[in-house]
Amino acid sequence: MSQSTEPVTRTRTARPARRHRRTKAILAIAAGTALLLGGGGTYAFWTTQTALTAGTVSSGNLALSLGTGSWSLKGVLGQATSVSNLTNVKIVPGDVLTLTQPVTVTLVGDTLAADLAVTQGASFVTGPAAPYVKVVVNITGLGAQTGTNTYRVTPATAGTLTATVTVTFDSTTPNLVGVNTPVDLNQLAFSLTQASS
Amino acid sequence: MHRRDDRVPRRVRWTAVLVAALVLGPGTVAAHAVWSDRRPLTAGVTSTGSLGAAASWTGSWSAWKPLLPGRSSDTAALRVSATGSGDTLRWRVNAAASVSAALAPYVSTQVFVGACGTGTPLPAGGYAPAGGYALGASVDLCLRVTLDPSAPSTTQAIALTPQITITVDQATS
Repeated sequence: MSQSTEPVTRTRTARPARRHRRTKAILAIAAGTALLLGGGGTYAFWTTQTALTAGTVSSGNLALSLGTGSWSLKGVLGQATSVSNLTNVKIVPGDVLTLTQPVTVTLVGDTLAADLAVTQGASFVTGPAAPYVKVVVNITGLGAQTGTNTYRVTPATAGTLTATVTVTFDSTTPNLVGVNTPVDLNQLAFSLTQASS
Repeated sequence: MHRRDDRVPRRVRWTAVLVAALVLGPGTVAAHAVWSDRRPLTAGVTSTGSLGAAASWTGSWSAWKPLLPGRSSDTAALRVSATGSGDTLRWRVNAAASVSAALAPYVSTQVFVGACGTGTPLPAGGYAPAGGYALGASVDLCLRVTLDPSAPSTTQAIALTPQITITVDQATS
């Protein structure tokens, strides 16, 4: 029997390389998935576990609350008098408005320390009067200030503290600078921030 | 060598960078967050006060008469008060008097708190009772002008034209 062995010429149609890659990728994913699914049963091993007996730990707490404060006003002449409605008050150079404010600081945390501060917003007082109205806070029992109107508090010194906030209209204010200017006391705030440095 | 079709489009790369920034950015901020609490005051809005002066002539001008050498002439009472507002505001009064330039070398002026002659001569720094005047209070001033006994005859029949300038200051002592 004779066979003719003539060369066979095949004509290949060139496929785009991207198509090849996609096919390979699909095959690889399919193979990987099959192996993973099968491996779950195939590679089982002995295991054991022992629970810690360390108990429950919990997060701490940081909180700030204000009691009922009282305001008084003292001018360059005369004695300090209590103020019940600050919206009726008109301050003049040399006046000192004083707020006596109970502040309750709650700090729970082995490593926790916080900065207790009095801040003032940008619109506390505006215009020509702004440089002449100053706010100063003094909090007894916390030592010296660590920043502008700022005190460092620890769980040991936390609790109910007495803060004295003074708003002073500089007695050296010249001429009629700053007359009839609103002073928004709502722009003053106590803040308690976890110390990070 | 990559063909153009194989490259990741530039738009996709920039989108990936932007997404990474959005994810990592807030994450970084959160890493430095600390506990904090804040309590604003609820005291309301107070305001600064004001201060102004008001003055008006009152009383009799019977003592205001032509000047002769060595003699005096007194104005009526000038009632001065303060306007404005301020819970603790107290004020003091001050005044400065002058006459026409032609007579200035020969005419002296003196301001009294109260009646001329019997009142209190106004001190150079102004006047206020202890604790200052309260808003709503008023004070009477009187101006006395005196022609020098040695005034020459050239000072005759010249208008005196006296002026008095009132100043109201915040009292601080």
